Amino acid sequence: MTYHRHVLGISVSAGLMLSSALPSLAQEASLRLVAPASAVGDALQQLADAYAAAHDGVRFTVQKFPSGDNYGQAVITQIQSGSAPDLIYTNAGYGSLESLMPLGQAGHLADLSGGAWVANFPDSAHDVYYDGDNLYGLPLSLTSVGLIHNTAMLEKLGIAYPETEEDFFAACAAAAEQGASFSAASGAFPYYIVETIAASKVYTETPDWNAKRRDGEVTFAETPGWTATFETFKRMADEGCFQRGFEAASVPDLFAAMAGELAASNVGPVTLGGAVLRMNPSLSLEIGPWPAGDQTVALGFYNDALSVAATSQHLDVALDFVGWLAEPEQQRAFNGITGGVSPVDVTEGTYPAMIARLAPYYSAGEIVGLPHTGWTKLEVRDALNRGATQIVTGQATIPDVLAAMDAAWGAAE
Amino acid sequence: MLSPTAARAPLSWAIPAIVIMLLFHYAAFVAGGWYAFTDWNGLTRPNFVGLDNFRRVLTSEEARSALGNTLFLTVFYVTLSNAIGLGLAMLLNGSLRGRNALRVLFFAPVVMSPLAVSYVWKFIFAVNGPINAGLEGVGLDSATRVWLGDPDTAIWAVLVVMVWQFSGLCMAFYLAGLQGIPDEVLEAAEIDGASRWRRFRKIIFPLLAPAATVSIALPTIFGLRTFDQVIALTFGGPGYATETLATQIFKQTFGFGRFGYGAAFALVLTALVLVVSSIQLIVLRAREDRL
Repeated sequence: MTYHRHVLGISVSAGLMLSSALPSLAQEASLRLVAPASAVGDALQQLADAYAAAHDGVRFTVQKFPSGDNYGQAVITQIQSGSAPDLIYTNAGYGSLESLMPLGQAGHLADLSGGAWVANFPDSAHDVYYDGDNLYGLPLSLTSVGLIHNTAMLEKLGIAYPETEEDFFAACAAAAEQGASFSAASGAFPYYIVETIAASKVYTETPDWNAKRRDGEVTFAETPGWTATFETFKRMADEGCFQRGFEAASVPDLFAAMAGELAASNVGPVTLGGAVLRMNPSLSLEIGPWPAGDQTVALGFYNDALSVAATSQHLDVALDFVGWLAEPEQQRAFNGITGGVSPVDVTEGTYPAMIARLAPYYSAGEIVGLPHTGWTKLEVRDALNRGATQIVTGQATIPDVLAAMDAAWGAAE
Repeated sequence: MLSPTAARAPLSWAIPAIVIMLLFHYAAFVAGGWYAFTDWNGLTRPNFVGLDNFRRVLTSEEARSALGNTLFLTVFYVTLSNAIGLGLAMLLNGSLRGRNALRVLFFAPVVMSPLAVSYVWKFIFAVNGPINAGLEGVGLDSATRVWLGDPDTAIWAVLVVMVWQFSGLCMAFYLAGLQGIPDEVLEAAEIDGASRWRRFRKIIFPLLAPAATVSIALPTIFGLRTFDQVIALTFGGPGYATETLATQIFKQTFGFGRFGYGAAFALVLTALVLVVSSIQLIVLRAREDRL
């Protein structure tokens, strides 16, 4: 934390110096920014304050709302009530209520494609930020998803990081023999596990699978990779890879299993590792790819984004702020607080030690986005979530679940 | 005799209050009802879709499961909490030592937050929790379960929490009813040789009819609206095993942004509560009148 604050201090100071050298917009503008009450909100607050300090007459009010569904609901309520904020923290693609694609397609977000920073826009994020030629957000950080593992615990158990799925199942057996679980899971929200497996089994072969699904060229039920994905998930449950009672576990239970060293790993976003470390700072956590042999790929997505409301009364100032945030110093300052990786560091190939195992894949461009951010209906992820647990508890078969996901995709509003 | 103007005055004076009540109580309800006939997603303009949302509520898997679970929970919750509440009331209406302290103890869960209570029970039902530990402690390892993650036991676990928390409320209603029964009536029956069971069946139970009306009607409404316990214990899972109408309204509306569909769900729940509670009240009141 001290390190982060130090980095932020230097970065913000650098940003201030840089900004003071630029011509001021010289106008009175009071902007409102909405963000989740988390490290992301704190980072945006600090950067907004720094920008305001460097621009006479510009003031920011940062409103923070609890993360999760509550945040998306607050954003929608403000927009619908005619009091949309000027700047909105959004998510890439379609995966949540605050996702930028549905907001942009409904005409609530301004097109940012005219900004100079767009020249450095990351290719892998194109599909979840652009609607035709319209760009609806500034990517703030790269979030890696993979196998978060406790390196000291693996060493203690005598288990090497798995390279293939068979290695993974052997590790499950080895951990179980020593009274531990190799991986923690939440039965209520298993989608990260399933989607991470699918990244290798579906998206390495067909990177544009989501686009094909949108065009009706493929379905979940008819794609062998999706069947194989759920088979692997079921095998993980059957072979005791997860902690006992994972079917009823919530996300906090999962954190506790990792923090309490009952489980050596978990499949999820790198931010989950941060949450676990807050519970037990003595752990040594790293993140690696899902072990899929020659189909191994890095799963990373630019989920955190900042968008500008189409109705902003200070559009020029809001766009200038977005351009300022896109500069390397501000990107690094933001990620210094949130623990993410800035897009500029991805471009330069500079990665934190925690994601060293993923770095070669990022550098080689072997990267897949989180699948559900390209699914236009939230219900599809819900069908996946429920279905994965239903398969394990015997309530449904794999074909049932895949059919339910296809049905959710086509469900009428 | 009042003049015609004076006779009309009370009604006209009430008009502002009636208008305010209609505006604040029912205008939002009617407006919300309108969205049930639209495809509003919170982002775009709502389009009128007729009865599509209601058709989906009546045919979708999530709705069927939610309706089935809601009715299951309501029936068993009303039955069990009334049976336990009546038993406790009978026990604590006598001359039992420490009965006042016991009344407070049994009623205390009623005033607690259902969410807080459910989180405590989540720990109790946990796979490493006291229930499984107790079973293992007496050699019943094979009886241990993932209580909240097993589709066969999860809904029963929700029911246990509801009954545990609100049986004390039924106890309070029945205690009030029991204290309204004149001692002379019971003493006369006892002198006439009526057994305890006969006194209960022929005198106490009939005279508890007004208490039973409240003690059945309120839990029925609570049961049909079951939300907190499910969200805290299982979040509706595994699969749809513990979804209720209220949790589906929340998820469809605030999770998926399907305001139209969520409003249709809410209207169905409202209609269900109105119909069930009205029928129940009519039947129970008729019973009271007969006695």
